[in-house]
Amino acid sequence: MSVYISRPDLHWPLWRQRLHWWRHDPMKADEIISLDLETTSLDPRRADILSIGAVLIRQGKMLVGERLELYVEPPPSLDAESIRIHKLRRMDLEGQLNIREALEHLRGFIGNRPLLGYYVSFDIAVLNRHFRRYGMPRLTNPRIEVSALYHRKVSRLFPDVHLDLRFDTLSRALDIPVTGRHTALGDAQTVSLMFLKLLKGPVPKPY
Amino acid sequence: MPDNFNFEAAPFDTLSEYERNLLRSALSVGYYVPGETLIEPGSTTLALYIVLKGVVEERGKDDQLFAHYGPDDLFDVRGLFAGQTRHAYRAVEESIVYELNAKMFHELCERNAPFASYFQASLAAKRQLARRDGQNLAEFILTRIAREHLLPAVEVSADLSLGEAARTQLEVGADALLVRLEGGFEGLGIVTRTDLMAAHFQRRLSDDTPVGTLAHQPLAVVELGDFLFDAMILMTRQRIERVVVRQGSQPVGLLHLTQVLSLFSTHSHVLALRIARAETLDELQRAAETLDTLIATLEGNGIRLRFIMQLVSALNEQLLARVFEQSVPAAFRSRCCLVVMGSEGRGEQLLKTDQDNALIHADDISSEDALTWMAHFNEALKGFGYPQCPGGVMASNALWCKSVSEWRHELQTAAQEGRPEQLLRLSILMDAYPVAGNEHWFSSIQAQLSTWSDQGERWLSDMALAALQFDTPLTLFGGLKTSGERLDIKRGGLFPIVHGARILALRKGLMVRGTLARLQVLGKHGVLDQHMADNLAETFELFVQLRLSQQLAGDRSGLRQGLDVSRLSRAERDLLRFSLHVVKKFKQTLGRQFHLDTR
Repeated sequence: MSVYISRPDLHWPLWRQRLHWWRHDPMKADEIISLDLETTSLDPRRADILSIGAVLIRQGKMLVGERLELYVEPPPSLDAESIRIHKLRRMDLEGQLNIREALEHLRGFIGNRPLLGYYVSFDIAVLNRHFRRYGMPRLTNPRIEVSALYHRKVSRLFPDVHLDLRFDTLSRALDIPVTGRHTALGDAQTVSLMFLKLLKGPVPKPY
Repeated sequence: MPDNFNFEAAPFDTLSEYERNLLRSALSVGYYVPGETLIEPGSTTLALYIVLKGVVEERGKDDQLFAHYGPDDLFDVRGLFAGQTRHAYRAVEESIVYELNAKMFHELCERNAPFASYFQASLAAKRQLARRDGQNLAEFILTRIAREHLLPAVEVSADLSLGEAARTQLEVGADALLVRLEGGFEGLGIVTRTDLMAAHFQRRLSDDTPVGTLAHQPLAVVELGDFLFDAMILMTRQRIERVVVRQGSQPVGLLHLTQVLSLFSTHSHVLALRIARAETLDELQRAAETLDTLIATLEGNGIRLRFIMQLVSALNEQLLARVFEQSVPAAFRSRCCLVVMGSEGRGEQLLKTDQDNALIHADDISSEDALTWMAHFNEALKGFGYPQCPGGVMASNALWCKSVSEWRHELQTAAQEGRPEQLLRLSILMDAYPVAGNEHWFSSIQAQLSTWSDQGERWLSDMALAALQFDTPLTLFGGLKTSGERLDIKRGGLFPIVHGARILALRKGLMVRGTLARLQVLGKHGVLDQHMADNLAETFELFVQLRLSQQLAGDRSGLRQGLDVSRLSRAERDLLRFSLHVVKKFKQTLGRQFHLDTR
């Protein structure tokens, strides 16, 4: 049984927390948050958050119960093009949380746990832009990138192969059942299953 | 709300929306690599596991395999109620498994009665099935013959006078007397009340006549501790009303039909009597019609299938023998032999299927005569509800109505030429069993069959290949493969076992009747691993059982061969899946034994 690394104390100074994650692999943390956002655009400088999904992975198990699913009031940038992808219409989002409350909720949920995601740097960049807008500190949590993990694992066995890192290819190669694609929570759950499989399972056969 | 969790599957469909949310809040998902243990034996059961993907196996103490769990299956319910898990659960392939923690499980059980009863019911059913399925667990049977069932066995010497004998009988309230003719158990004969009566009133024998002259031999004997069923079948076969029960070489008592009847709530013997006493074909037909009802009653009473099969074939044989008597002139009956084949020949027929029969007649009977009788015979059977064989395996067909020398010649040429149609006929003939006429004609054919493989060994693998022609209905992941909720149990499960056992028996020259008996003998001779033979026997019985109960519940025609998997309980599906794995393994064994993989 692998040994899990406990989180650094929340009250430690930032440098000490970073030192902790430098000494220990965030992938081995006993608690990890898998995070996904639905946004209005794919440009982190312009994207507005529509919904936030997050689920907790504790000691190698995804806890379906420990999850966060937030919908945010529609931003003005919500247009027809992005609606086609995430299927969240303006009327679906009317009367939901305002963005500031949502960010606070999220902050409380993730704490200082490592963040797991698919192209997680995009999500974190978008979040950090919003945090800055509302005068909140940015996220300094360590990151785990599921596609990089996949790449590392596969290319070790097939060094020359040109890897297709699209989300659907990953889920197919890892044989993960996908439900709720393009919903924040659904993607977060799929990603955490991918992560668990990459962590423990055999080397997947690339497509 | 995105959700992988299948709330449509029982028992989760009984949960309300609020309870579903409760369930979600306590749910986690684990991923396991092959070989990883989910639950250690003896550990506290922390969660209800629901398989989303993959296969998990359950193994007992000595690494004995209990079950495979596939998608949507749940375990370990027993452990949740007992607090502790008895068996080890291990992932066979990569598995994604939901885990509902035990606290929430019990809370849901308390909140929702149908939800709870699902688990309790399935637990009971599982336990019952597990008891059935176990290796050396007590047989699933009614009663064994015990002393309290018996009438006293009074032994008298052969020179006792008739009058004395009658008085002794009256004094002790015995129904029959055992007469000592010679030493040892074999030296005993029986004199019944009817015999005494007949001697006195009919034959007008004097009171001083020694009773030894009336005694019947040999005795019909069962052992103390045998199943009542054995006694029943013996009585049915020999048309007698009492059997002697012995322990070792000592007679301990007599078992009378009335005792057996009072213990059995069914009327199998009544039916047998009706068959025996029927004067005309019409009366026979009415008796034949009740046969199905009898099977349904027996099955409903939970009587073990191998006993039902034995009893039903005994009755069927009698029926056929009676029809045979009606069709063939008395003078020729001892000059020919009627054999049945197929499931009837193996003694495994339950509901009426098509008739498979053949005639072996003496060389001096003209084949025209034989064919005329047999046409009448087949016609009568058809009237009884036995449909004609579409493959023409009937005694009225010239191909299946031959003289002894023709049959012998055919076996001989089959061994030399090995043409596919000859081999097919041979494997049909392997199941032959004499039911009427003179068995002598059959035994000469059987003797030749038992040595057939000396010459025909090289054709055996061609014959064995047929057992592998249908795929086992299992998916790549070890789940059940169905086509539209139906699973072809006859082709995928029964046929490989029946045919495989048949061919192995032919190779070894083991002339035993019935698949179960064949498997047992094959195990004993070391042709099959003993464990494998036992498993196959259980598997065979399970398949027949499942098929029978669905046939009884639904249409009786037996034409819809598929098994409706959706009507099976989860526990039954478990067993079915495990059984199919046994079949798969058996097919591999066959492949190795006959070198089929290189063809």
